[in-house]
Amino acid sequence: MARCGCGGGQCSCTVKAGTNTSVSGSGSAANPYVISADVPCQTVRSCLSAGPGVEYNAATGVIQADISSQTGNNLAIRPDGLFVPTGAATVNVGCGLSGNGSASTPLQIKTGSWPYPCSPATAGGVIVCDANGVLRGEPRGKVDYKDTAESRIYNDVIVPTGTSTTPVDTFSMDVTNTDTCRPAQVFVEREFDVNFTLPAGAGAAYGADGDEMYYVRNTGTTTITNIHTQTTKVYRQSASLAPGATTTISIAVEIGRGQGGATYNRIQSVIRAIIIAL
Amino acid sequence: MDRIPFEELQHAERRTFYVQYEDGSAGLIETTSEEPPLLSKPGAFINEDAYMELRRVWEVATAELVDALQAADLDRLLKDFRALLDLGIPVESARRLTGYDGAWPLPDSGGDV
Repeated sequence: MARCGCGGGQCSCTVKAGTNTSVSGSGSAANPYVISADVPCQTVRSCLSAGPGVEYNAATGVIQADISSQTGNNLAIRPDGLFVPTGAATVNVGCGLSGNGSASTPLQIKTGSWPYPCSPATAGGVIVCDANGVLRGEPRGKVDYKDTAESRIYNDVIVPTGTSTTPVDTFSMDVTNTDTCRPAQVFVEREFDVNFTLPAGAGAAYGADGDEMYYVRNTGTTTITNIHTQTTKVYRQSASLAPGATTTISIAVEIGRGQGGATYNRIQSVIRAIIIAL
Repeated sequence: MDRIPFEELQHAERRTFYVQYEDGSAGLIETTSEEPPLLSKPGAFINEDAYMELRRVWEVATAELVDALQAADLDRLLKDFRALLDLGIPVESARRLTGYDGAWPLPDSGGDV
């Protein structure tokens, strides 16, 4: 402060205290000016503001952490500071889950034991997550049933002669595997029945698949009318029916060994199918 | 455990279709399927009335055939029956041998064999 003529142990400069300040001392080396400021809290608070994660109360001057209220936020204010609990205190498991998320007991899917002699790696089912985030297992099994029965009438047809039967008509039914996921096994039962009219001495036979299943001969002296018997065969189709595929099941009814004027006037058939997709 | 009558477990839904085939046969088809049945040979679905008419014609034709066969049977039995009586075979024995079990004496024979 040379321009104020300071020297010689004192200073001739005039120092005046402004607002919220005070000045003491004479300006000498031994007693220098000391300027002090005393700003009220109220004045300072208006200069402060809160950013993200900070909560500021301008009225009280309290500044603290701002805790998000969104679900799942585990951050908490405790007397000793901010605190995030470990998993053990925050994970509540429902059915099918175990563990608490801590290092010692991690959260995991609760599984049963595998009681079978086969390997789960090759024989076990698959669990997947669907488009909605829901766990799903193997497709549900499907069992379908279908039958078709037909009574077909003819105008008294002469039974073919010869030593064996020959196909005379066909009965059919379509079967569809309605499972869109897996192939199906198809079990089929086919029944058939032929009404014969046999004058005295006449004979006739019927069958299917080259298998003569019924033969009858009238050894009496008068006509037998509408003699018949119902026979059946059961099949397991050797090939599986692909998902959504359709196949036709048919019976080719064979008639023959006709003699003595034997005729037939009706064939009845029943086709039953069990379609199993597992 | 509940006991359920077996009849309640049976499949009750069946649909009936009638078919006239081009080869002259006719069919009555019952199926559990919702869809019309597969036809195994050329033909067309018809209504119940049309089918019943075909069936009536069939029954008449079948009955006519049976009537003709049975009439021939009767002629043959009577011929045999009379032949046995001509040989002096008693009536009851002739009946058993020929199988003739009709009226005797014949209404129009006056007992004349």
